Amino acid sequence: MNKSFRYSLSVLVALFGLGKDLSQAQKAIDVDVFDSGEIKAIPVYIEGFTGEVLSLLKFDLFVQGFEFVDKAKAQFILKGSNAGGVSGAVYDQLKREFILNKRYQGGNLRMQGHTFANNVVESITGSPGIGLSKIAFRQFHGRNTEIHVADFDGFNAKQVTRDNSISAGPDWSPDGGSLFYYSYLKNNPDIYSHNIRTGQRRIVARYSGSNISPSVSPDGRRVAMVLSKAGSPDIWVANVNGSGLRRLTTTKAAESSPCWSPDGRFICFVSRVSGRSGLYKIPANGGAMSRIKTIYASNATEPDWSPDGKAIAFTTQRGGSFDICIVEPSGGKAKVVASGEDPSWALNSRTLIFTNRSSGKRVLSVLDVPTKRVKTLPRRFQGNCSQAAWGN
Amino acid sequence: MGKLKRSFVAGSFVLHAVIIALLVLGPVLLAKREEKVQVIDLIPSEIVDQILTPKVAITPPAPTQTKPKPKPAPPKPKPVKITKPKPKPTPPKPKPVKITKPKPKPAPPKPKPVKITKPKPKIKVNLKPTVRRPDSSRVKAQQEAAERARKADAQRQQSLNKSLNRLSSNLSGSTAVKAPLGRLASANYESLIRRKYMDATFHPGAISGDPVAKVRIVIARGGNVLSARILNSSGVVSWDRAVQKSLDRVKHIGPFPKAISGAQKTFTLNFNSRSFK
Repeated sequence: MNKSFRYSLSVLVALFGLGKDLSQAQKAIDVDVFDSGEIKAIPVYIEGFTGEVLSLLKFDLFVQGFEFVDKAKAQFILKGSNAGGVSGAVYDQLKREFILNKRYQGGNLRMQGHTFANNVVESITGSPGIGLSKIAFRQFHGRNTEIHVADFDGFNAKQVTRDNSISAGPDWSPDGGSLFYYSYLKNNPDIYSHNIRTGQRRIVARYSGSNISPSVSPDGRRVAMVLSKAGSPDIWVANVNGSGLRRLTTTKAAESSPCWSPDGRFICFVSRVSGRSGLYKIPANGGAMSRIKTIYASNATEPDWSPDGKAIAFTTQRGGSFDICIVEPSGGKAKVVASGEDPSWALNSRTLIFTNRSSGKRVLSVLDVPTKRVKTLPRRFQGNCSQAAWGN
Repeated sequence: MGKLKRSFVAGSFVLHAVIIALLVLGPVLLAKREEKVQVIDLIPSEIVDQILTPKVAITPPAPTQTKPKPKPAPPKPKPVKITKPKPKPTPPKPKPVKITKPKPKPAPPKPKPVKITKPKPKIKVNLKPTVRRPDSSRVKAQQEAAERARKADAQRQQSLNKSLNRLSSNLSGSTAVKAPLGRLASANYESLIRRKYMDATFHPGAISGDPVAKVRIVIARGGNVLSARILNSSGVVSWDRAVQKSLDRVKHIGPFPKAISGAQKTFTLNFNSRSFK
């Protein structure tokens, strides 16, 4: 009895062993996209487009992770024409079929081109494109600065303020209908909301001392800002009409540059409470402030939280130069992604607009964060430009 | 053999037969179920027919608007500050702005330009025409090194071939050799699958952490992908979307090597958004 029991036991063990071997044979295959240590750009070949539409397409696609290669090396071929309106198609060389074929009418040629670029991005990556988004920024007019808005590539620019004063720090309301900024219009830095459709302006904060750096919450109902009415500059929150004002930080050091987490629960800002500038966050409804560590990046300023909540971009100062860095919102090792300052995320959470210097002049540039490639806006402006804020 | 023993032996035989049947039939049944799973093709783009009226129609504030006071009264007007007659020159010295940021807002670009101008003379000093000579010698050296490496490679390959030939001439065609070769062939096929999907996958952008999407694919003997679907979401929408795009694109891998038996085979893939571990 014992013998046969032992025998059956050994058979069972052998069978289980075999099962284990089988499961090992079917071990999962790892597909690593970062395999070479860098994120690859999407290789495309463009044919048929000319002039303005061709350069527009190249700019839009470049800043969203595409590169332009020979037909043989391309994974996708963009075919089309811009004669009498934009029409275009995308052929997937791997799938061997067209994945997009569209014709555009109405609007103008640039809008049609941007829309086609958006469709290309979406058909290839599955993520929405940013071709039709807007930016707000300040431009120097002599000693004054005024707020301007434009398409994200700088074209179709419009001047919003004509105060012959200093207006700065623009931020969009989430619906894209209003801008918040501060202005010395009344000889003191005060915060205004400005309906860009009607031109109507309202004061949001006008207290003694400085009222600067407005940042609208993702739900568009509250605004975080820096007020020095209580002494040192602190972070305050109010409703967008200025009511319900509440103080969040109470340090004796200077706080600056508030921005919201996309869920509206936290505000990230800069404080010099430790003696040097560093990133902190605080619950938007009040609470204790906590440090966001930025290892390898000291003097962190001008944070902007990505719309998908995965990263915070900020400026760091090293000697006389400025770098754009990225850190996870929980803090950690900061990665330098470009040389420049004052970053602002696009809605796709991969493209940033920022300020850098070109021939001694401050210009706006766009960065594709995963591939770390930069392009200066193709449309140049007469005055120095900075403090760009990316809208919808 | 006693009655009891005989019944135990018979019982163990029955048990074995059941286990073996399960092992043989189980995968077949499971594979059939996989076959029924269809690839979900995302149709990503939407027709943009309602072409855009300009999103932002900007009406700049009328010049008269700048002087009259804005409608709503300030929340806490403090007349003391307002009455201070400050002419234009005051804006260039806004203290709070200076305190909050390392670079002053209005105009004076203090720190940066000064530091940029400093290194200029250094650049002039470095302009020496002699720099190019070592360059050409370096190129030569590089070429020589490349040539040497090529020769070494060729030698290595030759000796490898020799030893392989020696090995194959000394070996009889025993079954023991086939087993590792078979494993190698299937490993090569797995690396082919890996490469195909790596080529077809594009990263969606900034991702924190290391989300992994687990995928199951079924490939026919001829190499066609019969089904490909995400088993476990990575928890990150953009990464799942990128993986699904990749699954939709890869329709063919390549025919099975002889070492892989069966009309079709199921593979599990882990799509890692990062390989830095």
